[in-house]
Amino acid sequence: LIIRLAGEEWDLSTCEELEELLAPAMEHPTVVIDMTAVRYMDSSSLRKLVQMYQKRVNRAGFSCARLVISSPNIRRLFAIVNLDEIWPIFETLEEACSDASISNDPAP
Amino acid sequence: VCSLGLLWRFEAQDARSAVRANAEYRATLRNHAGWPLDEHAGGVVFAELVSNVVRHAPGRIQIDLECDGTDVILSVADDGPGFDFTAPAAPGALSEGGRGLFLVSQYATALHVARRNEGGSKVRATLRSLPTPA
Repeated sequence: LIIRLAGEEWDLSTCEELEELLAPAMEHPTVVIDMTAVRYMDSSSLRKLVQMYQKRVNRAGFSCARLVISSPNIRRLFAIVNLDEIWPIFETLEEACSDASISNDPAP
Repeated sequence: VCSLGLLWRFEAQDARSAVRANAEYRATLRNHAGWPLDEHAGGVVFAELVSNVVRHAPGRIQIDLECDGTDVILSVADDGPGFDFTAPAAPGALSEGGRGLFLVSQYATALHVARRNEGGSKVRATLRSLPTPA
């Protein structure tokens, strides 16, 4: 399953919408979240992503979501709050979909 | 000397005013005549400080953006109960919260929080410049 976040900015006023968009990911064992369009993301939106991670991580047969982040600013944001430690992050959707190194086991 | 000085006042719950102020603020950073500013870092600081007021101190919010020729400073004041600020530690990757003020502390070059005499808090954040090319 590939979910593309078309919105450029995710903040307190849109994080509920983000949660709704991510809901299908909860029910799919393998998911790629394409954040190529994202230019801004605030802590309330990051929190929604972490909640999604937590819901998936203990489900048998569910892999950790793969994130596609091309913006250097958003990659920096994820690094500052250590979220690059829990998610495999790719520059392009093609890389995320073709990477076979990620097993279906959740990240530690 | 840069004479930048802008002021926005609105109710924190007024999302439309917040969006408009944010857009004007970022355009100002983008066009700052004195020296190039890190617009993304400044945008994160703005969003987190305004969100903080919306969540913890709903009511009137006043935002000032000024340049003294050396620093560009964003101030966000509210009428809430006030809070005592300690430099936030880095939240764990799986932490539920604690990222907002930590991000502000990382994206601003200096941060100062004070209780206002008339009630509420005022946060002053010095905005990050872009590195000058070698």
